[in-house]
Amino acid sequence: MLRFLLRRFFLALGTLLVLSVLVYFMVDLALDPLADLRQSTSPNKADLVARRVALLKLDEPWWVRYFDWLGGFVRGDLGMAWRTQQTVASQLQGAVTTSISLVLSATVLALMLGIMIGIVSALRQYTGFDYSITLVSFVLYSLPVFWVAVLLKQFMAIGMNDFLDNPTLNVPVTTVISAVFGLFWAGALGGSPRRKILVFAAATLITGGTWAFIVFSGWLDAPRLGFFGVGIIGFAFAVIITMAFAGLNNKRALYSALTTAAVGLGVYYGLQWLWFYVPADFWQIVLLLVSAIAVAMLIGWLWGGPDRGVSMRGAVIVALIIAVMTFVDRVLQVYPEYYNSSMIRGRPIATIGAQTPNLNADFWMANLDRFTHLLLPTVALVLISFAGYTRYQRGSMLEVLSQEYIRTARAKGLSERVVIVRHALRNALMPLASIIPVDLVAVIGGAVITETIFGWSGMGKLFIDSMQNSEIDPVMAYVMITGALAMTANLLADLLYAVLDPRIRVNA
Amino acid sequence: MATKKLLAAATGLIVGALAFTACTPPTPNASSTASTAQPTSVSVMWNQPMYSMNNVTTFGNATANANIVYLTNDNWMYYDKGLNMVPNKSYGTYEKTSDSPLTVKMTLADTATWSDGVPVTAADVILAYGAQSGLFNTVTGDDADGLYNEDGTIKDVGAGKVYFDSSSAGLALIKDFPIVDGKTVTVTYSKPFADWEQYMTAFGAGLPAHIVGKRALGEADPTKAAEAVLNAFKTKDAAALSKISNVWNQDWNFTKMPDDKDLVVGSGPYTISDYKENQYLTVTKNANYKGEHTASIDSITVRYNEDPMAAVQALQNGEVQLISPQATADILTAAKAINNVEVYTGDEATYEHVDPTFNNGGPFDPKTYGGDAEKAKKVRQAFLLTIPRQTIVDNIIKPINPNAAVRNSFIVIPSASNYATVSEANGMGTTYANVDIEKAKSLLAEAGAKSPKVRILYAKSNVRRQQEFRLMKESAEKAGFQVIDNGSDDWGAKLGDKSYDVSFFGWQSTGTGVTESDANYRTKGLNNFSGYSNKDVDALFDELQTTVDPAKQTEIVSKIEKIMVDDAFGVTIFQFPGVTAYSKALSGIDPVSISPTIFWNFWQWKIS
Repeated sequence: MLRFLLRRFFLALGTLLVLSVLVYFMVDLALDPLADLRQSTSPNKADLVARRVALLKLDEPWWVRYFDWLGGFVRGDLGMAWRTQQTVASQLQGAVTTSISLVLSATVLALMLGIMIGIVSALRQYTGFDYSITLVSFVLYSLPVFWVAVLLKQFMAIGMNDFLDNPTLNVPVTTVISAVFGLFWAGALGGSPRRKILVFAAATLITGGTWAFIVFSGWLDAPRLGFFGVGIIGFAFAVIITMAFAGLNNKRALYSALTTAAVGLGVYYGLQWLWFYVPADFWQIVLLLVSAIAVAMLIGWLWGGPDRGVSMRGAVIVALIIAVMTFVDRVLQVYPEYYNSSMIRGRPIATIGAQTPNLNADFWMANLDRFTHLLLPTVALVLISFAGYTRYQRGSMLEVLSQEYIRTARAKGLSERVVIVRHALRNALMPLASIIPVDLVAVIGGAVITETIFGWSGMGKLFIDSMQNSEIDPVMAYVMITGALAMTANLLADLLYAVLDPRIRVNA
Repeated sequence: MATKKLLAAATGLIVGALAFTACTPPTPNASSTASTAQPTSVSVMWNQPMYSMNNVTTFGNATANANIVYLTNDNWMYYDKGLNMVPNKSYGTYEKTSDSPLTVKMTLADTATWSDGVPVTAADVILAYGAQSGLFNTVTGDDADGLYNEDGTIKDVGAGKVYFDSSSAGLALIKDFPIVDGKTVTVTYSKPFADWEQYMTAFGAGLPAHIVGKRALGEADPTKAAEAVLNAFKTKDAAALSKISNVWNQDWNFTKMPDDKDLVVGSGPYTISDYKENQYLTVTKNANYKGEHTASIDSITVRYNEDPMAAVQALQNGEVQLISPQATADILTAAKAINNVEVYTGDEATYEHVDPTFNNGGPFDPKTYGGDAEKAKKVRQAFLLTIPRQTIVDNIIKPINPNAAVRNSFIVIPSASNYATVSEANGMGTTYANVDIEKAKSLLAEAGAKSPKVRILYAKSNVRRQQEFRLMKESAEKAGFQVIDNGSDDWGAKLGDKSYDVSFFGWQSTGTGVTESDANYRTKGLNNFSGYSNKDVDALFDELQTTVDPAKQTEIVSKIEKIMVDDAFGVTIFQFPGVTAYSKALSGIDPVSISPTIFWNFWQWKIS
């Protein structure tokens, strides 16, 4: 194991070194730091050119500059973006944080959505549902992000803000969208034609009805979930989660989930008082979340019985859902104030930037503001990247389902739920272990086009801007960091795989 | 079983408690709706973030910085819509008291105040002069080992060494130390300098001397600190100047709100109040401002995004009220489609020009004709006659700027007041008014040049340049030229290397000074890439350098341009088009072509 790690480590070092030489040479060839001065008519142009040549040592061959750079790099000095005289280290600090906050939520969302839809798609293989999902995911996969971004801004920001200004019910659009939801649920839940028709009708009516209620009740002016909203969502999920992971026959699991929902609802009520008197901050929320998980585990353990793990897991998931709902509800409570703020001017959904300038916001409003800014880029990224996960998960699920042991499990009379959740799902998730680390690392690499169009200055934009400014140091820092992380991620994926799958051994 | 009962009881208790609690949880807000008069604000989109508040250093010299400096600092004069120089009397007055030697007397007004309440003094003027003139430097700019760290930052120059990272040709002519008398500073140029008035802004574009003094010399009292700076320059105190130059070069470079509020002290109507790295920068009204340019809007936020379509959509979504994105026909269409938005199209500071090469042994070089300059000139004239200038403007520029016209001057910006005089006198407009293929053919026949090969250099990946090239090629081939596409992405580095016969690209004007063009057209001038040489032009440029009277300057410029047109030096084609769009709630926007473009009259902006 140690030998394996050491070998990989030295291999990675060598690769990085070669990478740095190649990239430095090519970037140096491509960049022209004097480009802007060539068009200048400034009277002191000769002096400016001389200074820049001296500054960047342009009179020396590229390899001299490379060794200068390498010398600094190995000593931890990443160099300087000479045009703005900022150290690369300080540039990276801001860029990495921005990239993570922008891309992380999108990646996690895309993963969850992609896996779920992929599994359902596999279970309904060769049905209309499966074909539709395949079609949609290929269409999304091939969409160029800059185009999606412009459309999203036009419809989900500008159009949505116009709509919020004067909400009306557009009957044809609502009908079509409700019908699409109806078809989705009918296809996803499957069953006999009669059941499908029932599901379709119910889902269509519920979607359309909910939307009509939202528009007509004035809910959009002061949206919130409220005590009943959180309650309904909490109890519904308690039942659904139990159904999926334990089965409703497991009374202990059901009771522990329901108890968690009830306790959560009580806590929701109490928190309204807490937050009224004690201003919230990040660490308080983290603390609350951790205690929610702890309480849920305790509830699960107390109800437990012989199969404690299942009850505890269900309770924790329910607790998390209620915690998120409580948080969302509290954030939504500041919406009217936010909407009427002089900085928002009644147009809450933003098309650029990471925050509204000069918004005098408390913790909750800052979060709402962050959300309205994150909305569009996140949707854009999710739309484009979730398609890949769907295909991947569908493939791996189908492969597992066709194996002998699944047939054996069915043959010995296990319920379909147990076969899928306990036997198939776990193995079908394993191949993902090799792509998740790599994708999470790509998060740090940033999303160039999305960042530029939505005005988030993350890693991708840092890279492009530095290229345009002919600043080689930040470009090299970017290449080195993403290169090193990519190698780490691959190593991590290999190790993770070995841990998850006992058939694979890590050996030198 | 016991635990189960316990849990059930607990649950029941909580639910019961809730059910029986009559009171509902408190909800936030309610306070905000009753509002007092909200402060007014306006958001502007700009493509590059500010990175240095000292925009007269060699690296801080960028529009992104100049805009913010302009918003937060007053100066001796500014350019108005017609690019005339307007003195700002509330900052100070200046007058030329003698032509020989050229002497300028400037007096600071009592209303000139820094935003921390300290008055602007002669020390501030001397700091600006001393730092930019380069006369106090003991190390030169190309002395790399002495000045730069390995990573490219400017080093703290060693004790006793002085290096201000700036250079100004004009201020370097003031060799004698200025005479300081209270709030009056009198400077004497060692030789007459044509653009002395344009360079007045250099005396105001400064950092507050009292804060430089505080940071460099550790003197906390503002009056004493400013005086210490003044004395350091006066006595050429190398130890003190060394520290001052380090502070001056480095301390004002920031990309987010600095912790030390001293660094945002300015003399203008606004002061920086917030700066989020790469996101936005907000300037708010300066309470201590007493000058004329009092603004009506309480705060201006400059938001940063370089994507033109993002700017248009942000304008439509109300996130910004004023944009000036990179102009294309698509952007113009998109901006025009928005309700309640005013769109302005006009000129930018960059202009396109076509230059034949004189010294590469090609079709335009006298050497090709055995040294017969007349023949070479005829071939140049023939080529220039084929350039479809009007068609280029009509097809490529007018879709963006409907008021665009062919530019007919090498030196003067079309929006400047003396443009009409110069462009009429130089004869470019009449000589090359229309494409004249027949005349071009006969000129080629006279010169005895049979279908000369012309290699044209331009920016190959630039769509606008590709279109121009196609139009030029088509027209020139009609007259019998063989046009060879020498376009390159590396065109900038190829300028002047004699590998092409004609080049076309843009020059960017930075002001209305007449000395600016010197290097473009003088024999062996730094920007004279085509190898043009005419002794009369050189002599006239020498004269122009030292001519202070504007009317006389226009006369000399006209003479220079006339010779250049007669020599068939080349032609200018158009001014780059710019698009500015703003919300109808905003009024008073009236962009000019040179920096600070949209911001020049910010104090006249109003928002409803």
